[in-house]
Amino acid sequence: MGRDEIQDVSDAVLVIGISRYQEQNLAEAYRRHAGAVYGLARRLLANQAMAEEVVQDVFLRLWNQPDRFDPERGSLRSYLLAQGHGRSVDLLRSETSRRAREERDARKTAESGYDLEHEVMDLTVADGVRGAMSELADGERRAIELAYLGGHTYREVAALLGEPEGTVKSRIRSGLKKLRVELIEAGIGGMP
Amino acid sequence: MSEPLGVAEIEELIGAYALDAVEPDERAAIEAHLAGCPRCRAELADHLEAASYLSYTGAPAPDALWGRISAALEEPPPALRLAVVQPRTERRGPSRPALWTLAAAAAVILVVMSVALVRQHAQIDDLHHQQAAAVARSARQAMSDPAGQHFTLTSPSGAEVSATAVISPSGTGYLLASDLPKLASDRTYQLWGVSGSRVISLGLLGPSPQVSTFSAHGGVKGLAITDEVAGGVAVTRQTPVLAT
Repeated sequence: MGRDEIQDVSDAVLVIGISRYQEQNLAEAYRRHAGAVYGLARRLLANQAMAEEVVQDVFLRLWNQPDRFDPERGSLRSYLLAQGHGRSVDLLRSETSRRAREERDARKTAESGYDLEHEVMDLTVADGVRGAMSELADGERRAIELAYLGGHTYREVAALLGEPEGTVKSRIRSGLKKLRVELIEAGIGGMP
Repeated sequence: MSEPLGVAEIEELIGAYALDAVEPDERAAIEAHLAGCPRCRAELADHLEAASYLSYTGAPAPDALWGRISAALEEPPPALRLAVVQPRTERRGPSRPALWTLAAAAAVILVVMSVALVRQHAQIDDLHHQQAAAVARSARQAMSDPAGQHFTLTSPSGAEVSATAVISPSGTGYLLASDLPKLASDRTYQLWGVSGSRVISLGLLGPSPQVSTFSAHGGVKGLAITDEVAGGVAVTRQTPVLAT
């Protein structure tokens, strides 16, 4: 498959090539999704070197265990981001980074509202995401941000917000459901 | 957590689970539930898709990072996939000493594989000459076991040849393919398993298979047999002689 053709193939077909050791397919998957994984890891870890390590882990795992991605269970993009999130949170919760995290939390809990990073390139998607987030109730939005972008467990979120644990887990779930609907209405992430 | 989580509690946690925001004991309970609940798996997929946009920047990853990942791929692949010998024509050129190391490693692998193949063939010969009756009996038992996964392989081109196979719940497979025409001695039939989107080699059947055993670990949904050069291939380019 030539360079031009590979740009047109679906993610699922890319992964079949990866399972056959076609490095150009991994390179294309990297071109499509590594930026998102890196952005998430960097936001969670606030550390470029650790974020790069996460991206490397995620793509090496895709190379070595391509069959762990099941196209019937979601998009490659959300699979890779979930892998990157899990790996980042593991690092975040490890002993070595605890101190850095405490310092960062002190800053983060002082922040309010949804704030995308400055290096936004695709404003259409960024605006759509911002708009979708603004449709959520404040409590839902803050719980999701602290859990997903802060790397906190729902129990920690409950403690940080001074709310019951049951309320926080319900808000995370209802907020994510609402967010999904809003994103699809904005034409974002309609698949699978 | 002292008491096991109920289904309602587990479902309430799917959102937090999608964000890696549950405790380890809760995670285990949720994953056990997810394995058997397609509705919760679908909900999880939706949550993951939604969350995947929260950190959206649209910015690419650092350029130098791909170079490091690509270089890390040069390491030998996991042992299981060594059996899949594939020419790597698009590798970036390693240094000359690295090439020699690779060549030496490849030679060792080939020797090991040859020995393994010789052993395998010897085992198959043994089976055919000494234990053919026992294997045929095991195969017949497996064929009549309703708990097994049964396959009928027919010719895609419409030839009047067929074979049957069964994979027992323990993962032992039996193939009855006595219909297949005998191949020249420099050819072999090769058995493939279709698992999700992957086609994996399940083994070489030799030029004149009768009753063969094979091992199929997990999720084989279909089988196919191709005609290949003796020694087999990593990735087949042949139209199957027989397929499910």
